[in-house]
Amino acid sequence: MIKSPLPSIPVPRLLHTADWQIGKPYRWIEEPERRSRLQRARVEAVERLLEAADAHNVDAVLVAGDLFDSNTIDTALAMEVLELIGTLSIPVVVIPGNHDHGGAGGIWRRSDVQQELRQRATNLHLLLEATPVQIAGITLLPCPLRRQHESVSPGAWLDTLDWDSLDSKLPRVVLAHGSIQGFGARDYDRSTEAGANQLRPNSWDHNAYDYLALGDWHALKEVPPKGWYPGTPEPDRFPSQANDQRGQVLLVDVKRGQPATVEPISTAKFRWHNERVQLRTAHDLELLQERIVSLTGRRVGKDLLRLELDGQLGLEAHQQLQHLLQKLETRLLHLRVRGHCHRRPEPSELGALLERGDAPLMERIARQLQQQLDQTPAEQTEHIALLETSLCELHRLCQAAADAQALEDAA
Amino acid sequence: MKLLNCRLTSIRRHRELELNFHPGLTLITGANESGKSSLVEALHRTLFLRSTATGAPVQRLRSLQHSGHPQVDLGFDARGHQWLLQKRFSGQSGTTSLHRQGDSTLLGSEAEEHLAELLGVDEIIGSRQANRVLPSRWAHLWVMQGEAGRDLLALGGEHYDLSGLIHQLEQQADAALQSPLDQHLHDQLEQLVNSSLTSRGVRTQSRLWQCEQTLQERRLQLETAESERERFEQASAELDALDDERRRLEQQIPHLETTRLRLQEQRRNHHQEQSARTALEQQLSPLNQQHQHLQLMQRRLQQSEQQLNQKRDQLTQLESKLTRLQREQTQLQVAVQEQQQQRDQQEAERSSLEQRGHQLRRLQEQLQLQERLKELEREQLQLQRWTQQRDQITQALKELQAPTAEQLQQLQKQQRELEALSIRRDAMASVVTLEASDQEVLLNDTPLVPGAPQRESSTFHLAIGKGVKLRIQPGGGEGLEAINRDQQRLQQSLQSAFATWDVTSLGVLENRCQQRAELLTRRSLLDQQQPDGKTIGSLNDQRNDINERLKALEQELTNDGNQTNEVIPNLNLEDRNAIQQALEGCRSRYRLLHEQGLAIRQRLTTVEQQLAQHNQQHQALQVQREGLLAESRGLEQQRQTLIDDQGDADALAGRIKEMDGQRAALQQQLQTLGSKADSEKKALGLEQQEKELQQTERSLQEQLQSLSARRGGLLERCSSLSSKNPYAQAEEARNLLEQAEVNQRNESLQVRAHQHLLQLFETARSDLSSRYSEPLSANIAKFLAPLLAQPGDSCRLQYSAKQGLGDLTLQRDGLPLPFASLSGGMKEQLNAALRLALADTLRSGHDGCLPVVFDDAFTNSDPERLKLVQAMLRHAVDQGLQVVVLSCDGEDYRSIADAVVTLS
Repeated sequence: MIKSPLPSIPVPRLLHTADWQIGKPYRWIEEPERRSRLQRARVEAVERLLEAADAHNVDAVLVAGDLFDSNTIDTALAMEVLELIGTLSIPVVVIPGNHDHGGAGGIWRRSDVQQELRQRATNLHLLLEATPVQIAGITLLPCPLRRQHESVSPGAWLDTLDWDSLDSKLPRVVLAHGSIQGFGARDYDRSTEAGANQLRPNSWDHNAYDYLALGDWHALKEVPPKGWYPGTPEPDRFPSQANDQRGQVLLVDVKRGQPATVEPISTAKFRWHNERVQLRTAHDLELLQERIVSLTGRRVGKDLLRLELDGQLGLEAHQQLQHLLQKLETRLLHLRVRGHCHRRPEPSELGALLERGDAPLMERIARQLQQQLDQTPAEQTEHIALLETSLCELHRLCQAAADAQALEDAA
Repeated sequence: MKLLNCRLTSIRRHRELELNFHPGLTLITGANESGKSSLVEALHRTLFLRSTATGAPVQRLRSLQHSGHPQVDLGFDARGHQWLLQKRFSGQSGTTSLHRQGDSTLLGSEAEEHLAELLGVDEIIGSRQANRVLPSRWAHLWVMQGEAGRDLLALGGEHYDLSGLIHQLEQQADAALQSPLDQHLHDQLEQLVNSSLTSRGVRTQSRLWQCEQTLQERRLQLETAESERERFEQASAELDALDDERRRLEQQIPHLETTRLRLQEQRRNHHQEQSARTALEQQLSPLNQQHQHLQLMQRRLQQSEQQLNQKRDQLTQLESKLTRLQREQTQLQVAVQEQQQQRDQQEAERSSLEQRGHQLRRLQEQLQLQERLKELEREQLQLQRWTQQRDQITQALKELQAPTAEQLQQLQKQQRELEALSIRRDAMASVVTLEASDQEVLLNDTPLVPGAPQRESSTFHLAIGKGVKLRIQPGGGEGLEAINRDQQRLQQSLQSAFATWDVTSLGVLENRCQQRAELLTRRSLLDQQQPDGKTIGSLNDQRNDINERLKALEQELTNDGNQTNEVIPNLNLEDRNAIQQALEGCRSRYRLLHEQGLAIRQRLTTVEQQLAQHNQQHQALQVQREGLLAESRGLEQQRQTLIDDQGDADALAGRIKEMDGQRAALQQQLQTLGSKADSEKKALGLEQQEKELQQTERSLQEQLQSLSARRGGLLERCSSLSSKNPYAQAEEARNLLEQAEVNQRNESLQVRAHQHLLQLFETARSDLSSRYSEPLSANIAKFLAPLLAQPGDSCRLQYSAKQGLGDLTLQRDGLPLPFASLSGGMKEQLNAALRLALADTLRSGHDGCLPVVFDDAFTNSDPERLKLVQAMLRHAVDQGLQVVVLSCDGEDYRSIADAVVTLS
């Protein structure tokens, strides 16, 4: 995908982006300071992408929906973003997405937003109607969302469009927000209903248009033959797949009747990691530590990590794991632990219980628990958890009693 | 531990008692009241009660017979040494000394503490705990008098040294049972569970409770946030729907606009047609008018001719009617004249009759008046006679002098009073009668005649002879004088009256009065006969009036004198009856005439009225005729004018025909424009369409307005909801809920783990219980062996960590018999076996021996059983226990006793 400029005819250059999701609340982050850093990051990403647009002599910026996270965004924030857009001299073409739909209750209909739009971002072209528009030397075919869950495909109007009525020389770009044939943001976006906002580009004549600028999917994704999801310019959630590419915009050169050239430009600030580990031994713990270092380096407060735990550790190793997690919580912008690492005394630790010799009842009970644990099938998770916890608690109480005794003896 | 010897000083009945205990079985015997129980009590207190103790337990030791404080010296073996314990119970100043053979002596508290250690008890008790704790000390070793039937195990662990027992049982067991650490862990777990749970569930304010509360709150919070979000989305969706609706409505507007334009075009066309029609109609209208006018004229001409003919006919009829009327009128006039003649004749006759009547009535009156005159003269004569008589009587009355009736009565009364006075005076007077005297008797100087009574009413003097002179005073006294005075006054009055009337006596006066009364009667009779109200004058006046009337009548008669004769020939003027008859005839004739006259007049009036009617009719007809003539002339004139103006009928008809042609041509043109009704219908249709259009527009506007109003409300709701940022709130709530769920899960898991552990501990401990109960019950059975007849018979007891030992049961003949249901003897025997078994178990902690004391403990056992008891005791001694038996009947035990002490 290397740019192939044709010297004779100027090729329109576009910056294709989507899903800015300005005003995303990140309320799941408790600490307000960290939360606000994530919130700010979305605006900063816009700054960077606008800089990129400027730097790459772009003719127009296309925002394929979800510029705002919801219709309840604070006016000041909206004002700030519009002001940023207004600093650009080229047109910024925006269609509403499911998060900022163009319906009556949508943010674009808010009087304050409309006012700010007029005052600050005269170069912003909000396309609310499904009708061809010529901007910056291209014919835009917008498929705006008029509501959060549009049962009728927003691109349905293209099924019946007389493509011949369009300017035959200008490149044609379809601007749309939604999923394509079941593939889309629904998998991780609970605000989207199944079957809603579906695009069906296969029902259009592929030769009739040159580029399909999509939005909604937050990772970079090509939808052949001509569609691209640029992903969000600043990641806003943990990657669902290992090769998820987030935090970029697309630089696109389009020409009528020719394949477009597409080049991603990175714009992300924060890195979001999703790791799944199974812990069995203290060694596994060491490996985990190494892995985390490889992911986050020595960075402080710039990474978010989702750790899916599995497996089982001895009491001490488990304790170490807790220490590690605590440390990570401090260093990373956010740590989210999911799953469960079982805590069960290792044989040596169990030996400390069983071979004390001064508590026959306890020994008997510990042995009983251990046996039950060995015999309980793995699917009885609740019972296993109870047995494990009981064993750990027994260990803890013994340890505490022993410590107290030691203290007494020392005294 | 083994008792060696003891010395009791000043205890109860013992001043000084010293005795030695055999290591085996010591029998202490003696009669009742010999101080056996005092001995046991004193030893018990010495071992377990501080010497400084006060109160009842110490008081009980005091001797009533012997002086000095109670003191006990006790020698015993313990922990491999011989000890001498000396306690002096003297209240707070009590002393204790514990001396180990070959070692120093411990004193006071130190001695007590060491003693406790040797005995294996917590402490030697002071007065405060004495009542409560003292009876429990060594209750499992020493059977005090009267307590042999008590269920020891039911009294509680402290009564049988449970902890010591457990300790010993654990020592003897193959494997360790429970350690202090186990106990500690158990306690810890119990505490942990109790801090989180109660018997009814989660403990309020515990951590788990807090977690659950938080979880609930978070759930609620999320629910609220979600519902807020949903509300917001709903409002947004509604707003969308509203906008769609508005758009749909607004899309209708252009369509309405084209409809409006089309309607306007149609309206314009219709207007053009309308104006063309109007122009034609305008042309047609004067023609029509003219046509109408001509037709009108034509009609008028015809009408006036018709009317004229009519009038003429009417006139002819009228004139014939008039002729007829005139004829009838003439006839009527003749009839009137006839009637008038009749009337005049009749009137003349009536008038002559009237005159004759007048004449006759005058004659009648004349006669009546003459008669009246004669009567009047007679009356005058009568009146003169009556007057004369009355005057005579009046004269006689005047001459007669007589008093009035009242005066006479007065005089008569005076006369009667005078007579009464004289009677009274006589009654009061003294009557002096000289019947015979030879001497002169002088009465008031007047000599008295014999036989002549003298009446004296006043004081009088009676002189008899010369020498006798009497003054006599009659009885009445003063009253007599008054009577004399009244008599005189009355006589004078009467005399004066008589003088007045010139009479001498009252009788004359009475006669005169009689005469006058008669005269008055006669006069009143005359007055009654007087003719009423008539006087001479009035009679004269009447006569004069009559005379004058007569003269007038005569005059009238003379005036009509000749007529009279004419009218009434042959009439005797003096005959009243004839005159009356003539008058009657005249009157009847007059009445007849009068009636005839009335009939004639009536007829006349009828005829006259008929005539007047005819005249009127005639006049009316005349007027009618004049009117008709005038009308005929007017009509003629009118007709002539019409003909002059418009030409005659033929000319008019020609013109009308010409006009019809013109009109038909115009009508033709109009018809080509379509019928007017159609055009109007079309206009109406257009109007209707326009109205509908307006209505649609209006309803559209209304709908738009209502939508816009609703939109305002929804927008407001949206903005108010969005200001709280429902998405962010929902996200936060979700996050918080997740955390709360994790916390709650963890906490709950931990609590459940504690619970589970505690349960495991409890189970494990109850498993241990059999390890305690089984050796013990086996031990009891061992001692009880001589008493258990059947091979299956045994003894059972239960152990629980909380309750300790209990449920002592004897298994006999396959039946479990609880302690309470046993007989008194069996209770004693089982108790003895239990104590021996306990002592046997515990003795290993006490140098392999413990002293067991039975004070009168087998009182309910029969001699047969007693033998078995002896075997049991002996067995105990053989096992290494020290046994002390106190009994009043020493013979029973003498055979098994190693030493016998007899108390005196």
